[in-house]
Amino acid sequence: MISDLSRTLQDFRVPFSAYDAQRFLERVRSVIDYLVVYRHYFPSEYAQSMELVRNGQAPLFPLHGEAYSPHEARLLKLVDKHLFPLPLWYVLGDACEENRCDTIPIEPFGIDLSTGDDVLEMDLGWQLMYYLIGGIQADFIENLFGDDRDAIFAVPIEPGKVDDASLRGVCERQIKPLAFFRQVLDLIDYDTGTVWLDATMEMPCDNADWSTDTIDELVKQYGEALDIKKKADQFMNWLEGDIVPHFTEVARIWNESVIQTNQKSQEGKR
Amino acid sequence: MPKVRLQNQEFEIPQDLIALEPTIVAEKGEEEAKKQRDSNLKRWLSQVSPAATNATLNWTEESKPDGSKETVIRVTPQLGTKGGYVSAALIENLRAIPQSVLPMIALTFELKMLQLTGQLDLGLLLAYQQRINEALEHQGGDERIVSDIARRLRGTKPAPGPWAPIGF
Repeated sequence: MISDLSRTLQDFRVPFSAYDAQRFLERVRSVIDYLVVYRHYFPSEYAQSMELVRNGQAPLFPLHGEAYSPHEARLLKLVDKHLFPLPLWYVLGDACEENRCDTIPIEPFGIDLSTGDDVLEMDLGWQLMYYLIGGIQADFIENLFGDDRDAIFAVPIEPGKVDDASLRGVCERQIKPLAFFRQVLDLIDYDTGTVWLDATMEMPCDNADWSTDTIDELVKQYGEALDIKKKADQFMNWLEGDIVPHFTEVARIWNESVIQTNQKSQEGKR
Repeated sequence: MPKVRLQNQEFEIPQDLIALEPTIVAEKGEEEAKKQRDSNLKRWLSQVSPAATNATLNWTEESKPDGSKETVIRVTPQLGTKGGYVSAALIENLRAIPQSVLPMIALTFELKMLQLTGQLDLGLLLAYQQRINEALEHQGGDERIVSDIARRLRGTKPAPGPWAPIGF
């Protein structure tokens, strides 16, 4: 039985203009991408869905005005559940035709200062890290530390920058979770090598196509991102647990890294 | 000096413009030489009025008050809608272009028919994948060509045209 005759008839419209034809072909191309991904990652669910299509119980293409066919919506939920998180609240929440995701919608979960978040609204440990690397001045945050204020801001800090190799070398010699200082700085610098932590609203990842190669890479990077985030959280819990001595330790390895970086730079100039 | 009467104007033109080219007369005959002279004259007159381009020329000899004769050329523009002579040439050129359906439209029809008759599945769609990609890339290619022409035209030095713009 046809529940919505006018919408069903819309599907019988044949595109006559180049613009409509282009849109139709782009839609077909996207449908193929979704089907290939569905069959590759979820073969049994794919087989069930295609059985419904063959029996005429579900359409292969999204109905007119809709972003997704039933099996595509199911695929999105499966990806979210088994591979990596998708922002389903808006992907499926407002699923009109124009909102179809022809590329994979990636919602990063790293630090994003482009969305109006402020360093000063972050946890104390993170604020200290921004202070340590010269991102904010002491007078912005010194009142937050109560009795520890004088001790914290008396810790000598080497001004400058660190290169990745020096930081890596210094951190590898530390015990955990102090050794995770490197992951913390990578997060702050958007330099984790994972799209999940390096992308922001201002610099989004909008070219992840629905291909198995891209999805495999995203799955791999998602695992790495979770690991980095976990290490950064462990570091912050440790730092805030006994903030003065632990910050002194962090400042020590920061200073050591800066000095090594400067030495390398000087040697390079000779 | 010969005279031209064109759209309520009368003016003299150089004698050279109405002379027949002796080499053409010798090689191809007087009729052909007259055709070429008329064609050249119409081109020259089109600077005065674009309507002269497709006009008919009537040659007469008229007596002057002093008894001498002078050549008068009446220029009768071809009746029609404004700009018609331009669109006629354009339509002629367009008709000469081989007829074809845009590949993207043809492919769309093919796929739409398969969709509507329930014949599409992943296997068949994958068989079409390359054609779909090519059609979409070809479409992008057309846009690139047009935008490239537009970009080059924007940077081109202006040059005066041989004819006055229509309507001026």
